Amino acid sequence: MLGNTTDARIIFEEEFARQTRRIGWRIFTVGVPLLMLIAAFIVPLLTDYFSTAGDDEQPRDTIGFIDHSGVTDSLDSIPGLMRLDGLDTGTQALVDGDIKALFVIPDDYIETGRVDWYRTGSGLASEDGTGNAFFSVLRTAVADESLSDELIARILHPATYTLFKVDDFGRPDSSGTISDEIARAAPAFIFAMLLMISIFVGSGSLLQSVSEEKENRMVEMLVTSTSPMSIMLGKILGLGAAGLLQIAIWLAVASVSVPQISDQFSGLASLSLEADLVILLIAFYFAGYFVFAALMASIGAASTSVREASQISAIVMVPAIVPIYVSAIIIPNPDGLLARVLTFFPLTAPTASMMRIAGDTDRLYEVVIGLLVTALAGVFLLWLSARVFRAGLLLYGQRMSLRAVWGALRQSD
Amino acid sequence: MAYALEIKNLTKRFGNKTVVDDISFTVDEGEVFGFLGPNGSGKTTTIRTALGILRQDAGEVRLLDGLTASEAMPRVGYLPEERGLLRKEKVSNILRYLGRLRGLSKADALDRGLELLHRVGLYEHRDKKVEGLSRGMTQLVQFVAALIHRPDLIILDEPFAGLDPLNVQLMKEILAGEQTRGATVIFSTHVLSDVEEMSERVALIADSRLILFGDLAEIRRSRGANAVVVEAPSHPGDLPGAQRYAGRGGRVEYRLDDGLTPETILKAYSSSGIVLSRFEQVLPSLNDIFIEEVSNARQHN
Repeated sequence: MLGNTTDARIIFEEEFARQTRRIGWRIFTVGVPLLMLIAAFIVPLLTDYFSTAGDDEQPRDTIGFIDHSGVTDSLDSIPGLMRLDGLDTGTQALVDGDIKALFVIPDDYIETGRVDWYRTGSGLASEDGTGNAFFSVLRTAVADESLSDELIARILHPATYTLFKVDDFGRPDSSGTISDEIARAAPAFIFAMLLMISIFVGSGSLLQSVSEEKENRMVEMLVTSTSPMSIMLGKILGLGAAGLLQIAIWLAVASVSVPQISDQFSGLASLSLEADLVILLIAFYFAGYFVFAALMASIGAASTSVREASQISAIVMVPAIVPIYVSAIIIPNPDGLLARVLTFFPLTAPTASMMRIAGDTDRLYEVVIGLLVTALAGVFLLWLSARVFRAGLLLYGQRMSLRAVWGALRQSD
Repeated sequence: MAYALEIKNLTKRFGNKTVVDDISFTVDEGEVFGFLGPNGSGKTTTIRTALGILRQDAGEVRLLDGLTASEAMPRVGYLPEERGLLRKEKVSNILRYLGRLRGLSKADALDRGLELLHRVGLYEHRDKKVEGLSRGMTQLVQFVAALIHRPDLIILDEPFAGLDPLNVQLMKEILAGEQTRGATVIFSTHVLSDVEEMSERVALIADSRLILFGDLAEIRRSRGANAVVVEAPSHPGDLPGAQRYAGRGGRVEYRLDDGLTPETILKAYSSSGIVLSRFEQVLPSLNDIFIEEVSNARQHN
């Protein structure tokens, strides 16, 4: 079934080496981490430089306010807040750059909630952090002054939810906090993204490799050297390994350079995510890659040119994206009809199942069945791709149509 | 008798079109065999079917003394008619890859590849990408790839097409060396002088059918002499049924129509009292046989 494994290993090694030698692969592999580094370090530095330029004496985020209503009278002085007497003084401080924004609380504030916000320069007010910062000040100010500091703190952060799931027999089971939930969903999302990248990059290369060899007739020398199954297996694994190496490099750089991502990972580690769930995600990653790679190889083998192959492959890519596109439906309702249907279709199963795991599905057995369906489809598609590869040789110079491919398939043993 | 290739009643159809029609012939081990035919006659399809690239609709193919195509493949070297290699890849990398797939170790594949590149004068181009080579150079690299694993059977589809005369000569010398080593060489062509120079036995196909197969000298002899060359101080007048072509130094060639024998010419000279200094029967050239056979086949169809 798997052809000559020695030949498959040789093709695996050669395809891996060829792919990693490609200048395009190297640029992409280095380019993405480079962008991450730029985003993580250089952009904040530049932003910092440009926003502080010419303003080196006063702290840039001091907020000025004038209170005609008296709601803030009970507040002690707050760092970063400057109480001002009149509008003229305020606007002058604004123009002089002593304060970043000026808020004026009118005397009817308690009844209307209206506050006047004075700004200089351009930019969206909604993107200006001072508005939110002053919101917190007002929230503290309107709290009854007889309240204790703890109560005021609780008004500002009223709840941390602890979640319980009640099963069909009415038994509640703690499922952590909302942060835990987000942390649990994160690996499923990460795997879904990795799968998407692998499908687009890895199987894209596969498509190109197969259709290129067909276009330049190298294929005729290959099929007289080994079996189509060995060729397909070696190619799929070789290019897949090159894709994995690329992802590993990106993750390594990301975990070092982007603190948010490292924090997320350490958070996950402290949650000790169930090993079986991680194994399921990894298994889905490989089964999914195999399904798409084998499909891409089949398209490459049946097409008569690289361009034709690329056009057709776009159709196959869409089902992989659909579950991520409708994740807003699947995650809140991971056992709904849409989620369940997509789990059993090999092209949508990998990403749909990952979204269901992210949504903490109750029907994990369905996800496992989806995995089996995907794995079986992967094996079948590998076998089919070898046949199409074989049949593709019969289509030399012929325009590709389903009828021609079917005819060639029937002739190809 | 051990056959390097045995084809029995081979038929191959594409849709309703029969491309190879009930062809049978054998190639002995150790010989250089010419596979002749005009363009589009079915040579390439026959070769592809013999190698298992295409599946036959009927008939049987055996290689290297009774093996199937897939069994024999590690011992076969093949140069396809349609040239092409991975364009972005270095020459030495391609040879290493194909050598390994044909059973050589990584080091042996590279060593043997470089040795053959040296032999064909492309050693300096070993680190170049294929896209940087000329068409002829690419063809030579593919030729090297076909020989890299010292195959017992070498099948070359139109090997000399597109090459300059020096490279054609070089390729012929290398193939002669392969034959001396014990390999069988089968090559297809429509260039008849190549066949006359290299092969003792030939198969000729036209319009999908085998129309001639056997020992080349035998075939020519069986056709009988269709011309004579005469050297004499003078020549008799016109001889009915014989076209006379004058050469240098009193040399004349007579082309004989059907029914006219060399003896008729000899009698004409002796009855005129002319003393001959040379009288030689000329067997039909492969070119003549090719044109005659292919024309006949087309008339029948």
